[in-house]
Amino acid sequence: MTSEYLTNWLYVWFFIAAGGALVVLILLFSKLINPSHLTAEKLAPYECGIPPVGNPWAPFAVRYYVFGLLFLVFDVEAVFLFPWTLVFRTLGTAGFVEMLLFIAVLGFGLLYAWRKGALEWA
Amino acid sequence: MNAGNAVVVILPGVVVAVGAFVVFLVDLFVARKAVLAWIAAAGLITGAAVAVGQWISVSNGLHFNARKPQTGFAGMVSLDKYALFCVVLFAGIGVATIMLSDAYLARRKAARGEFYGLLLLVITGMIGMVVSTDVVAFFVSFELMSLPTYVLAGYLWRDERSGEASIKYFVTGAFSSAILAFGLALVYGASGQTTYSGIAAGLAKLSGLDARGFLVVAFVLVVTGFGFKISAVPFHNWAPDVYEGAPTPVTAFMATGVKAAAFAGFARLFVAAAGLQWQTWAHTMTILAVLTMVVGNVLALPQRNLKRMLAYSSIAHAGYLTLGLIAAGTSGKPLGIAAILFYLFAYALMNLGAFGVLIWIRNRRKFAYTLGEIGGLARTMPWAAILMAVFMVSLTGIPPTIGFWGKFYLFTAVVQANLTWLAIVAVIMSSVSAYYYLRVVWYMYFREAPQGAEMEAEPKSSQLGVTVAVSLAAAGVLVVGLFPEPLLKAAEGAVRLIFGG
Amino acid sequence: MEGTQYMKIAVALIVLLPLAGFIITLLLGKRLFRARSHILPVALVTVTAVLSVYAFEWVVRHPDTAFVWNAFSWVAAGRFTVEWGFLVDPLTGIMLLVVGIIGMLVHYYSIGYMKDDPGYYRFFAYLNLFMFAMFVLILANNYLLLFLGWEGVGLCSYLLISFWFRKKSASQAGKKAFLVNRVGDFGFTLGMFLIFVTTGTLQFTGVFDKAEMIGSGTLLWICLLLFTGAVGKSAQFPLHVWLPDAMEGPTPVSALIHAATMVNAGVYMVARSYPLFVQAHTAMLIVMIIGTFTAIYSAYIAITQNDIKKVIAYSTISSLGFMFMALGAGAWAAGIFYLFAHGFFKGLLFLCSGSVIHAMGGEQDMRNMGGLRKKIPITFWTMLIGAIALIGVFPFAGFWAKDEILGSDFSGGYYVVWAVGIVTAFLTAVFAFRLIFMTFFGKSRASEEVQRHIHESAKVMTIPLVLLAIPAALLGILVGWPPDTGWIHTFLQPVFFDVEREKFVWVGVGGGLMVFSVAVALLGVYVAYVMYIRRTELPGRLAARLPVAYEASFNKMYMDQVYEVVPIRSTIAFAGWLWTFFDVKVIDGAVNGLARLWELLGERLRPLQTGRVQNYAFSIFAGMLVLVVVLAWVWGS
Repeated sequence: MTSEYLTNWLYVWFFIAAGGALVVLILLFSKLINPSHLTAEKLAPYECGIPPVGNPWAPFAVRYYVFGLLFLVFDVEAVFLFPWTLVFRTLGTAGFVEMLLFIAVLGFGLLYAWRKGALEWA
Repeated sequence: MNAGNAVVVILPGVVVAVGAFVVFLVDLFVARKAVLAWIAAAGLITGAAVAVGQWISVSNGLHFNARKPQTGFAGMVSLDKYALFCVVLFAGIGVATIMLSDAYLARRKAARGEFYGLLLLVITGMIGMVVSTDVVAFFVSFELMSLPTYVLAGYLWRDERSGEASIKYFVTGAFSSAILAFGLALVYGASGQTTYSGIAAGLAKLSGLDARGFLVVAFVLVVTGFGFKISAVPFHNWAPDVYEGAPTPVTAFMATGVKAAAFAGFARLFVAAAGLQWQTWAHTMTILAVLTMVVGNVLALPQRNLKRMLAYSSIAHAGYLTLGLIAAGTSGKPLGIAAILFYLFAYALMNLGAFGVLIWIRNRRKFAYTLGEIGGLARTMPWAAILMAVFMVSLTGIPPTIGFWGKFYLFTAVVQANLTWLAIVAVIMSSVSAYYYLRVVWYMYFREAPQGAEMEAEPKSSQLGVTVAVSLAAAGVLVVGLFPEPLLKAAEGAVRLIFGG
Repeated sequence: MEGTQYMKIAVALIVLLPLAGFIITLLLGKRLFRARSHILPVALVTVTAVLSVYAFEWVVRHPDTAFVWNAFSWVAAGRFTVEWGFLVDPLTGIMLLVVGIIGMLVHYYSIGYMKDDPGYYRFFAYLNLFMFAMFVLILANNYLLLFLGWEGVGLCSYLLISFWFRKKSASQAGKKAFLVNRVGDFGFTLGMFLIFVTTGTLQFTGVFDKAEMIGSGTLLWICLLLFTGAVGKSAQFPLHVWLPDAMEGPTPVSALIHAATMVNAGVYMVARSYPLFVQAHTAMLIVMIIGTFTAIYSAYIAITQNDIKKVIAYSTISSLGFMFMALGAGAWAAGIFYLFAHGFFKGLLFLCSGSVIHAMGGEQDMRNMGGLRKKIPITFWTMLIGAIALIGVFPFAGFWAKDEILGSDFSGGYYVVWAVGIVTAFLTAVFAFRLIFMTFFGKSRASEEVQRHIHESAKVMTIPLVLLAIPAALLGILVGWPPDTGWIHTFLQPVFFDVEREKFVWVGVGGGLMVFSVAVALLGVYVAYVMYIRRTELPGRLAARLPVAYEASFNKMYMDQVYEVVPIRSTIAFAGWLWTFFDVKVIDGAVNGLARLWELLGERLRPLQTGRVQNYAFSIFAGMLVLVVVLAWVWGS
């Protein structure tokens, strides 16, 4: 490896540093120049909504997680299916079988969720 | 190359994965859960049988070329004796874990379907790690192994400590996985390749101090990921907490199976991809190994909880095992890796056995896994006590047990790599270990049983699985201890090819 | 080569049958066989005895070829390779005969002796395990396998001495035997290690081929270390203390293990290492001195002991000393000849004593015996034959062997050794016939109750006695005649090939010595007769007159006390120090200190084992960074 490689890496670090500095700079700058007149209304979480009541760390129904996970099943499926369709012809039979397997595995997940009663809201 | 051939290469893994799905499926539709253990075991045994068949084919050059491993998926996986040896080992550990778990889970009224399914998925990942010859495939397998393990650690989620263990393991595990991924990315960046052979070729072209510095960073990151999984000091903190909190069969499995896969998989990665750059990783590992052996053994001394003691001892054994990798890297000879394979086998037998005895006791009576509570075990459960004594003697490394030969080969490899000082440290530390291992024996035979250690009149669930597994492990410890030759020959045969490059 | 195929089968069976017997009996004996536990072990041992005879006969037919068979590879790690290899040559042949036949007879005898013992099955299982280990020991063709057998017989010895483990003294004696033997084994292990380091192999042939190339200093050390092992196993001074205590075990065990076979292992091992020892003259000299000293020392102790088994035990130590004396003086064949004969007559004496004890309802003190001659005639006559063989009166077995040894001492110029040997022979005659007279002659000193129950033992016990009495009487003349050129010498010639010594001559010195030693033995018998039959008050007066000499003998030369004070006390003191200082302060201190160190570190860097997952992640990250820095630093410089 030549030192050129590392020089290229230096650019990366430079960008990271510059990015961080920019964030700090902008926040600092706006803090300095913007007028600050705080009122009770301005400090409320939602200026035009219902004021929140109670602890924001309140637990909420675990079912949302289950649905989140189920959503992921189809999401991941879609993420792979779209690019696959574009190269379907070049992949041939093997590609088709592989995708079928993939869908079967995900479908199995759905079956599992269904049998375990994750699809029922109650 | 066609896809059919590629599937043949990963066939043992495919069999085990299919086994996992069958377990999940059967669990959904069948009410008699006792059948699940049999299905899971059958899946593993079939996988192992396939591997044995392939081993015979490879050895005799029947369907595969004995000189050149069969590869698949554009060189991402490879079928060779190294992988096959490990597959058999993993499957064996898996079957033993199932035997240890069944009564344990039934007693706690925990669902068995997910447990066995997840276990088989972990083993699929483990097989993937040793079959892979590509860092991407390797990393995916690594994650496939890790994720279900986090779940298994928290399997008894009603038990606070089990849940805590799971969360801890998950957070630190995810953290170290990220570090590993970053390290592998740097390796890719340096070599421009992802297959092991490609990386080796790519790294060979590099030169200069800058490159070395770059590789040091890359490999320290990889070694960190590795060190986490094998619980090397200073990446070990999670191990005692997780080992103590996790259900005991899972602990046994993590200490033997997951660790074995980490060693076997990473050994292949280091040796095949970066054998020539050994200084970048072997020196890092030397620091880790010494720290691990010392800290593991010294902190095991004051432990009075047996699971915690075995956790620290497992850290110490990870230190010994690392020596094999260092020896192989330094000398460029395969003996160190062969010694690791042998030792993994030995360690699996004796550690599964030791945990198995704990499970056995726990299934019979109230038991908090403390040293005081196994007092007088020789009278209350004589058979369990004598088997435990065998395992403790073997863990210490006293002949004629398998533990002795494991250490013997390992240290021989280290000495032959001209690292005598490391071998001396290891021998000193393993003599320290005699104290806490033999103390267990002493308690069992020379201490009185504690109050309230009465047997429950009728064991609620069948003990047969545990008893058979533990007895078989003890028989293995002694038989291989007396005749280590065939197993060592197999281990030496297994490593010959991966040392080609 | 003709017959090696059969030999392989025979050797494999000799080793495997007793092992199978052990495993099966141990597993099934308690529940299934119970009082029939002896059937399988005895049958198997009978077969092995036949096979041993076959193997022996094979050696006789093939005098010039040793049978070597590397059955399979045992260990191979780099240069270190060991095989399960067997060797049958004349030396092994003799040992096979002794172990096989006596082993078988003792098994039969035990059927009667151990009858109704709660541990019946356990006893036979252990006996079979012992046979297995002993056969491995004598059949091995390398030191490591020999050592395996060596440790195996040691283990069995321990198990069988403390067979009645509920008896405190028995379990103590077992432990003592075990511990004392460890001292010797440690030497043996070191010797083996040294052999491997210098020659790179542990195979007998390989080692012996290189014997001449080993430096004399190293060779001396090798021999001395090996001999240390032999001193422990064969109960030579100063490691002999375990053998008298070993009499706590059942008598068949004493006969088999502690007289006829296991204790000979040391002699066998030294004889086997003959090519090493011949090169190391100093080592030979030390072997001879230790042997000679042990011989007279323990014979002296034997004359005052009252326990019938202890007398024979000391006699055994003395006899073993005789063997080492022979080996050290270069009379290798004579030493093995003595071993051969001794196995039979000493085994016989022990079994007879067992029969006596049996008849007396467990009484072992000779002061409470007497007048048993008429009541248990078979035991009496066989024991008499054993005693005559022991003291070496023409033409019994001991005569030929003992006189060859003494003769070779004389002709070798070791006159002092010879003189000590003669004195020992005299003492031997005294204590042997003291035993006979006290036990079988005179009036019975037993209580009425015991007297009424005195009976001859069952046939299963007496027949082995008779069968052993035959070789005890005739063996010497069969194989040892004529002296120094007898059959046994020609037979052992291939093993001890280059011994060049003056041959025995009937007329002149040889014959004269022979007559002299027999005369001395008969004098001893007469002295015993006077002291224990004619004038029974004499021993007491003698003891009163010579209190120091008597007390020293009676108290076994205070060896146990010496051990108590020097090594044991000091070890306990050292252990105490180790505990109070080293363990409590250093180890615990280090452990606690380390723990405290962690705690201290923890207060600064946040506790490392707090259970907080953030800290763990931090430790991973910090560890990684430190490694990067350390390695970058190492590499940068």
